[in-house]
Amino acid sequence: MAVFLNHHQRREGAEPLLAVNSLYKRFPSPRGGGELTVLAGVELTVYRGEFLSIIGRSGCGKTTLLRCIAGFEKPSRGSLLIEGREITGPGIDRMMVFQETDQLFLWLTVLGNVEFALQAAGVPRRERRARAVHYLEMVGLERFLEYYPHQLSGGMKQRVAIARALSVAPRMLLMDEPFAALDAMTRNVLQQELLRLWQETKITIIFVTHNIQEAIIQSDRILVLRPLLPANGANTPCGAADNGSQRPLSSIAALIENTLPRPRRPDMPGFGAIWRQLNLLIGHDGEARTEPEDEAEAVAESAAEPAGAIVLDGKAT
Amino acid sequence: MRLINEARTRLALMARSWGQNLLRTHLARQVAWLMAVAAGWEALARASVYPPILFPRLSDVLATLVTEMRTGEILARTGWSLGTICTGVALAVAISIAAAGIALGIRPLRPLVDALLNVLHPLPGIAVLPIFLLWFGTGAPAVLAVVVFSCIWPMVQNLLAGLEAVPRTQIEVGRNLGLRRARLILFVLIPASLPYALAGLRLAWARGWQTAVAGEMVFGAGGGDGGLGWFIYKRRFFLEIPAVFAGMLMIIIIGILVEHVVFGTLERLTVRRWGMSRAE
Ligand SMILES: Nc1ncnc2c1ncn2[C@@H]1O[C@H](COP(=O)(O)OP(=O)(O)OP(=O)(O)O)[C@@H](O)[C@H]1O
Ligand SMILES: [Mg+2]
Repeated sequence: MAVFLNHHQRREGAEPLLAVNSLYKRFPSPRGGGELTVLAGVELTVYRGEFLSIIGRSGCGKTTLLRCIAGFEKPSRGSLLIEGREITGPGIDRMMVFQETDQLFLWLTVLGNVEFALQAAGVPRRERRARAVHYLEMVGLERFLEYYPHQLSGGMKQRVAIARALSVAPRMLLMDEPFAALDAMTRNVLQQELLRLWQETKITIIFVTHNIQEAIIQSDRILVLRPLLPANGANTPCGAADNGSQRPLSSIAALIENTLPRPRRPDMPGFGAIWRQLNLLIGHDGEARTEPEDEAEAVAESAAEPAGAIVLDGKAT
Repeated sequence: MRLINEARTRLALMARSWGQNLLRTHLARQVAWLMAVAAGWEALARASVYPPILFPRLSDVLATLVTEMRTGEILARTGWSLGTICTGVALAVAISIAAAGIALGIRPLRPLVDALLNVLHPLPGIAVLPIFLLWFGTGAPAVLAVVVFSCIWPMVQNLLAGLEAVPRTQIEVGRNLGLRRARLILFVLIPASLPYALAGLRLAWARGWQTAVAGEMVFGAGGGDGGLGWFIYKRRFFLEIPAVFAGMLMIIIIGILVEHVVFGTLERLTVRRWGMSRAE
C-alpha cells in the first residue's frame, strides 16, 4: 500500500482547518496560591487532512493542548478557531479518542456503542445500524458486534473507540496516546490500521504520543512541545525571559515537516536523522529512550539526505 | 449381562462424581451444614433437654409452617409486610433520587445533604418509631414512615458515591457527543453508576425489611391487622412457639428469595452481564 504524498504540494493547496492563536493555559497551583503555567504562546495551524503528531516530555502539556482543542479546557489567554469559529466547548466535530480503555460504555455492546454515538449525532434510527456496522468493519470488528466491552482485549477496545469517533464524521480526530497501554505488536498493527483509515477517510488527525518512532511513521508534521517548568517544580512566570534573551517563553520547541515517503519504516534512509533531531529537541531527561531498530544502518544512509525541515518556535504557523 | 453391569458401574461412577461435584461447590457445603444443624436441633429437641414449650422440634415448626400456609394467616401477614416494605422502598428510592439530584445539582445544598446523611444514617429506624407514632399515628403509617426513614440513607449514600465514581472519561465521551444535562444524566451517569445504585437498593431492602418486622412488633401490641412482626409477637403472647419459629422461617425464606432471586436476577441481567461488577 505505497501511497506517496508530496506534503509540500499538499500544504500549498491545503486549507487551514484549525487555528491556535497565542494560546496560554494556566491551572491553579495544587499547592495553593498562584498559578501554574502549562502552555504558553502556542501558535499552530492545522490543515485539513493532515496527520499532525504532538510529542514532548511527560508533563509538558500535550494532553492539555489536545483538551483545549477538544474544548474540555478553556484557554487562559488566546483563542482556538475551527473553520473560523471559536471553540467554546466540546463538539461532535472534534472527536477525542482517549488513552484510557474505560472510554467505552460498558452497558452497551460494541455495536451499541457506535449506534449510541450516531443517535447522539442525530442520525435517523434507520441509518444507524448500517453506518455503525460499516465503521466497525473498517476496524475489523464485524465479528464482535454483540460483544460487551469487558469481553474485548485492550486493542479491540481502542478499535471500537476509533470506529465510534469516526462514525459521527467529525472534522478531526484527537488522539491522546491511544495505543500507549498496548503491547508493541498490537501497537504496530493499530498504527498501520490508523494510517489506512486516515488515507481512506481523509480525516484530519492530531495525535499525541511519547513515542518518537510512532510519530515519524505516522505524521506529516510533528509538533515538539517543551516543558515550561524546571525540574524542581517551581513555576516559571509566563512571558519571562528565557535564559536572558528577550524572546517570550513558548511551549513550542519546534514544528517539524516530515517528508519521508510513505509507507515508512524505521530502517529507511532519513529516518534516523529525523529521529535524532527529535530526540535532541525533546531533550534527555533520564527517561529510557530506545533508538530505532537498525539505527546504525539508518545513520549511514541518512547523512546524505536530510528529510526533516525544522521550524523554530514562534514561526510555527 | 456384562453390558448391564458395565452400565451400572458407569452410572454409579457418574452418581459419585456428581455427588462429589455437588459437595465441592460452596452452596452444597452450606446446605450440608444447614442440614447438620437442623438434625442437631431436632435431636436436641427430642432429647427434651429444654422444655418443649420453649424449644420446639424442628419437625413441629415445619408442620406448623405448612398448616399456617394452608389456613392462610401467615401468608396474609407476609403479604402485609411485603406491601409495607415495597411501598417503603419505592418511596425511599424516589426521595433518594431527588436528594442526590439536589446534592449534585444545587451546589450550596450539597453540604446539607451530606450533613443529614452523616447525622441521620447512624440512627436505626426503630429508634425513631416512638416519635413517628406520635407524628403519624399508630398503625401502618408510622411503620411505613420508619421503613422509609431507614431505607433513604443507604440509598442516598450509594447514589452519590456511584455518581461521583463515574469515570471522567465516560462523562467526557458523552459531552464530546454533544450530550448535555438531562441526556448526559440519563444515558451516561445513571447507567454508569448502576452498580452502586443496585448495591444501595440491596442495603435499603435489608434495612427496610428488618425495620418493618421490628416496627410491627412494637406497634402491633395494640393493633388488629399487621405484618409478620405482629404475627410473631401475637403468637408468642399465646405461647404458640412453633408458630413463632414458623414466622421467623418465613422471614428467612423471603430474605433468601429476594436476595438471590430478585437481586440476583437483576444483577445478572445488568451489571454482571456488562462486567461492571466483580462478584462471581
Ligand atoms: N486540571 C489540572 N489542574 C492542575 N494542573 C494540571 C491539570 N491538568 C494538567 N495539569 C498540569 O499540567 C501539566 C501538563 O499536563 P499534561 O497532562 O498536559 O502533560 P502531558 O504532556 O500530556 O504529559 P504525559 O506525557 O505524561 O501525558 C502537568 O504539570 C500537570 O500537573
Ligand atoms: Mg498526556
